[in-house]
This record gives sequence, structure tokens and C-alpha cells, in this order.
Amino acid sequence: MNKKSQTFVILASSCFLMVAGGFVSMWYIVSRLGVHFDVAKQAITEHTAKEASYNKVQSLLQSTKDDRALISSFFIKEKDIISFITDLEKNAAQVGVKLTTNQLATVASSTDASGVAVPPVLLIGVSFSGSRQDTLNFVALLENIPYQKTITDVSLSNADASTWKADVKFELILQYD
Amino acid sequence: MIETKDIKNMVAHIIRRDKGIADPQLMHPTREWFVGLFIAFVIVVCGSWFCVYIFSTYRDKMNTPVVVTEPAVPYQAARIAEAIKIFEAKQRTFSEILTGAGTTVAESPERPALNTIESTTTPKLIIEPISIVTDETESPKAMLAP
Repeated sequence: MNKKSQTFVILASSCFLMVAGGFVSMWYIVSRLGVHFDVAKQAITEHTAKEASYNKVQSLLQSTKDDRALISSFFIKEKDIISFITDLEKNAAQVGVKLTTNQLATVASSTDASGVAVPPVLLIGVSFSGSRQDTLNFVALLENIPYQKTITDVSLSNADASTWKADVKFELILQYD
Repeated sequence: MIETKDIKNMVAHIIRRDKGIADPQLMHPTREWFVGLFIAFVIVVCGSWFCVYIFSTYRDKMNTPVVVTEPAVPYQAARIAEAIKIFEAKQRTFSEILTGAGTTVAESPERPALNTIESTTTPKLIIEPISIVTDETESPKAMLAP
């Protein structure tokens, strides 16, 4: 092989290597950009999903605002305990019975044996006396207190021919602010 | 007469000829040009195919619409409405009892047998045992469970 041929071979090999290197580098760049594109697209998808979810929750919160406020009013709040007792005494007087509050305690939330969370409750025990009609009316009144409650104990007795006495214990679900 | 020296010279000549450049190793400009053109053609075809493949792949990816799966927000509107209805009825009854507007516990036409204890002189317990009333429908778990 003469010198001219050697020069051509070297030149051709150099061109081939340059072109091959160009292809490889282009492939690398395109692959890297492709991965970046996939990651960006995934991020956009997640962001869009979160945004849609947020909008949905937001609209749900807005549309159920009144209902949630109403539901929340079914649970007595800690700051309202005293006023609730005061109102109860006023209601008793209005119905016509004499009311005595003999138990008032709060029980903190806990978890029962089966792992179910038990909400905090307000334990109230009241005794009241009056005519039979008024006593039964007040029992019915307690039964229809517009709070989430459980009446745990009711007993009625007649002290004399016209006076009835009742002891009622009930639990109100307590809602902390 | 052929001597050993002549034979050695003949063998050496033959061996020297075998060490010569073989035909395939010789430079043939036309053949080498065609080989070069073929390799260049292969490179161009492969590169073109690769470029078209990459282009079509990412074009399809870009044109694929983003499928957004919205997570369902648990809100049991029917149960909330039912709870509100129950509590509104209770509130109405509560107000009626309080104002004496009519919803009062009616007197029984006959006193229950348990209510009359005539043989005793002191006030006696007349209704026992204690009844326990639990509002199952009002359970907060039932109402607010997601």
C-alpha cells in the first residue's frame, strides 16, 4: 500500500469514526432528553391529578358548607357546656319541673379493645321532679335534645300522689374546638 | 547436474514467492470505493431509521393525552341528609315540647300495673328496671364514617 492509499484509509477511518461518534452522541442526547420528557410528563400528570382532586374537594367543601355546619352543631362543644346546663335548667323551669344536676364529667377520647376510637363524651346526670305529665314531658325533652347523645339511665318514681321524681343520665358526644 | 545447492535455491525461491502479498490484500480502488459506499449507505439507512423511530416515539408521547384519574372523595350525602332530617325532627319536637305546642307525652288512659303500689305507705320505686335508650341511627360513626 503506497503512501497515498494509506492517507485515504486514514482519512476514511477518521470520517467513519466521526460520523459514528456523532450518531452515538446524538443517541445519548436524545435518550436523555426523552427520559427528561417522560419525567416531566409524569410530573405534569400528577400535578394535574392533584389539581383536579383539590378542585373537587374544594367544590365539595363549598357545596356542603351549610350541611357540615349543621352536622357540627349536633355535637356539643366544650365551651358550651355551662350554657347547655343553664339552658337545661331554664327548660326544666319552662316545662314545670325542678331540676338538679348531680353529675357532670367529661371522658376523654380513647380506643376500645377492638381498636375503635371512642369520642370524648360529656356525662350528665340530672334529677327532676314535678307532676307526672311535666316529668314525662321533660324526659321526652331530654330524649329530643338536638345533640348527638346516648341516654344511659332513666328511672321514674312517684314521691307522692302528685309528685314524680326522675333520674336521667346521658352522654353527649363532646367536640373540642 | 543438479546439486543440493540448486535445490535449496529453488525451494527458497518458491518460499519467497508464497510470502508475497496475496491478491485480497492488494489495494483495488474500485472495490474499496464500493465497500466504502456500502458502509456509508448502511450507516445512513440505520441512522435514518433510528431518527424516524425516535421522532415517531416522542411524537406519539406528546400527542398522548394526559389521563387524569381523580380520586373519589368519600362523602355520603344520603346519610348526611338522613342525619340532618332526624336531628331536625328532634329539634322540632324539642321546640314543641318546650313551647307546649302540642307534642307532649300523653297520659295513659290507664295507669300501668307497675304504677300502683297500694300496700305501701312510703313512696316506692314504680318503674324499674332502668331502660337504656341508645340512638343507633345517630351514631357519629354511622353518620360520619367515610
